Amino acid sequence: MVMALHSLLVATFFAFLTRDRAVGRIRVFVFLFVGMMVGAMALAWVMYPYPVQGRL
Amino acid sequence: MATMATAGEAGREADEAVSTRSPWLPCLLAWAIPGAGHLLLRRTSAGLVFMAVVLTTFGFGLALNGTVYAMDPEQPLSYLSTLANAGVGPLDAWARVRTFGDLRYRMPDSRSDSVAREQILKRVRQRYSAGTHSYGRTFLLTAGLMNLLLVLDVFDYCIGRKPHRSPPERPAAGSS
Repeated sequence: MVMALHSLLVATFFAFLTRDRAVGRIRVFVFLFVGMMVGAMALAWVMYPYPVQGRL
Repeated sequence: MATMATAGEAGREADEAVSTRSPWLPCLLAWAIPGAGHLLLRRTSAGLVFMAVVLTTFGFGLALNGTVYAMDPEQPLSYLSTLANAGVGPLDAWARVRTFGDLRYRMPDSRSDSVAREQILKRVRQRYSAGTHSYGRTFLLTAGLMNLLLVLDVFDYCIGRKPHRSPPERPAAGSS
């Protein structure tokens, strides 16, 4: 949930920072939001076999 | 072809419409109040969105018991983290007082003032017990970095490096 919130905020920020028009903003937002969510899930899946060592 | 020529002219007109101005006041305002630099440059909708996004990120950082960094000579990377935290503007002072108990940007040296250092570290570790502090710390860093990017964006607008309107999109390949 926190990850999704972070992705939402960052994707909104970069969509407005890098594009001036609504269509371009929506494209950038979707690309970044989906990319961050899927990328994080994939990274978590890759790291799953590795145990956490030491104190968090 | 005629369409492309028209589009090119429109892009040039947009570029020429940019008026340069001194970047100091807008940049200072953009740093002090997230989004205010864009509001000053009459980019109202973007400025309001930036303000909402940066303040929401900062607020969630505090709500998740996030801590800010202070410059520590024993940890050189803490200098960069402190800069990132300070990017959010005067709001950073609030987070510092919550984290350290005072407006502190530098950790005491462990050799010369170990007692004060231990007291500060003890206070910071108390916030770790919440369990969400690392998420909060990430949110606080993100808010600072986003605001630094806003300052750079305002600077680009002021010196005319970035046009107020993006050039029209190029027609798709193969279309006439």
